[in-house]
Amino acid sequence: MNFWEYLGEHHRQLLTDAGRHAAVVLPCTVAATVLGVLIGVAAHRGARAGALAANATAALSAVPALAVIGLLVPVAGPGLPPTVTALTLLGLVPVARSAVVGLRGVDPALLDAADGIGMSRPARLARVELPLAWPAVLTGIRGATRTLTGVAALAACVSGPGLGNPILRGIASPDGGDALAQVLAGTLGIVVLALLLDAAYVLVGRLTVPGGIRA
Amino acid sequence: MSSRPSAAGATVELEGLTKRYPGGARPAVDRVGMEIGAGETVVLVGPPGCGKSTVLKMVNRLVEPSEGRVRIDGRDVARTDPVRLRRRIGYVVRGGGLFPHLTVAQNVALVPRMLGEPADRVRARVEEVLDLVGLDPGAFHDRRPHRLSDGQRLRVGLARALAADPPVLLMDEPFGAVDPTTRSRLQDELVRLRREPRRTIVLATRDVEEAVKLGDRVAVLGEHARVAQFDTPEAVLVHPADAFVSGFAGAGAALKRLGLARVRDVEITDCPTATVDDPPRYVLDRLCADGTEEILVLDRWGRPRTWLGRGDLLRAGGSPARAGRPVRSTVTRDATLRDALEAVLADRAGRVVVTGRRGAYEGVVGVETLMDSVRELLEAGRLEALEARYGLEELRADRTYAAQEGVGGEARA
Repeated sequence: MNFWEYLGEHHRQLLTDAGRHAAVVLPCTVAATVLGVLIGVAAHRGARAGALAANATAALSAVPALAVIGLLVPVAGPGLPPTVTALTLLGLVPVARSAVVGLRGVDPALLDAADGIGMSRPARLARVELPLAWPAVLTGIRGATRTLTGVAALAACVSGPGLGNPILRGIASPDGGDALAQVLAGTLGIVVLALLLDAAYVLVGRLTVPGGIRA
Repeated sequence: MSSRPSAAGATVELEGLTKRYPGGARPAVDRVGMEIGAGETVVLVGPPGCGKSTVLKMVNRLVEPSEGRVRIDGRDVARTDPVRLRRRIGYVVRGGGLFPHLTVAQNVALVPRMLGEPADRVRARVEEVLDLVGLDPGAFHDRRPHRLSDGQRLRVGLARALAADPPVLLMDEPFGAVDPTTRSRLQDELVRLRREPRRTIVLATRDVEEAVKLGDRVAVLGEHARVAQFDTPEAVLVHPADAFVSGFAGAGAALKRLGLARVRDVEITDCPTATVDDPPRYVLDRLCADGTEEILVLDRWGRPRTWLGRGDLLRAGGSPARAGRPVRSTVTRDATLRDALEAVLADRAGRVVVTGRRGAYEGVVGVETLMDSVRELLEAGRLEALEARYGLEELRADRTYAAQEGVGGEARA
């Protein structure tokens, strides 16, 4: 069975897998964004806290995602929970880093102006610092989403949902007639999904970054 | 809002104000004392790094003093919550310090909104204050700072600082980043703004001319913010307290006196005008009737546009809108004679157009009028200096007399 025949026969299943794939990636991205920005806010002021956060997140990114998922199975059980946890941890790394970069990049003169007109610290953060850091943060989120879309394929290893399943099936039965088609369909599905999400971020950027600070 | 008592300004007293930074051998600011009256404009002028900014920032507690006190209307600022304090003190930084992600209106509305004023009041105030700084609210309301010129940005920064109608306004080298022409125009506007509701202004600058032009009193600061002289601009220029002040105020003090007198002090004359919409026939009639060489063409909003001669009109096929020599420089009534003189000297016909609010035509000043005033002014200056010297001698004579006779000096007076 060649690739196109496989696609014709299984497109419904593939679409469902793609939908589930996105349904895993997106909530993880949101969770990673919230946690990452919180870490960035906590870490950007002090030099030592910033370095600590940078190192910790760098170390985190070095841990193989497969190992994280595998290690979490005994604790969280199979399927969705270990996948979500691992993806969130993985996604948090680029977001936290870009948040630190974005917040540190805010012009000190503007912070002076914000203090000078009587903004409280929380107000300054919410109304000046975060909006100005947002383009950088968004770049981080975009990168995180790209990584997570790829890594989410590993969910299939712990019987989670998503486009990892056709890939895994293909690998598991190399002698089957449509092994190659399965792997190819899953992989290409992930690539297309990643591109679509990436395009969506361009739109999000257009809508949420005000004209005055668009690069 | 101008009915608030705060609009009359507040007194600002600095008392032994000192700032030491860790690791600094000597304090950055060393025991500065100054009393600034309500509604007064005081300019702190000094070389870069003399601590004038630090002094300013200790007033609104952006910098906490190591020693000493700041009192506003008699109340120690150290006893006020810094965030609340700053909402009651206008603060303008170099270039305006606008937030680039917010629109002009949002930037200006920040302080009134933080003070919890109702939305419709805030909206009305934003319009009012934009108008006050010479920006058309309709045109600028929704623009973002990147679509403004340097001068407009600074105006919006000023509007933001004035939005809550603060009794005290601090300006930290506000005109540092704008080109000279815009700078002198903005300075003129500040002179006007200062007069409207009186408020206390403390401005830091490194430019002596700016200090002399804007200040009711000028404080010349030396190293460690030592107050070398705190006096009227005239006194600083004519009677510098010491070598540092005379060195800093520089040579050409007589010329700088021109920076003290304003266009409003000289005679502003009328000149024949027409508007762009007038029919060419009418314009030509006026040109012939008045027997003048040129007529000033105003645009629809009454702003000077071009100088139009008879020849120009014929050459352009009769339309006053397209012909003539564009009016390059104008001055306001608050401009200094120095600026006016410069503009007049650059003009072919030796005159400069005086404009009022929003750049509308008010009259012209010619080179003869200006030179007469300059002559009078310099004469007056010389007399004043003589009088001061004479007064000093008289005082000394009094003292000597009193010392010799053992009675109070006032007995003779």
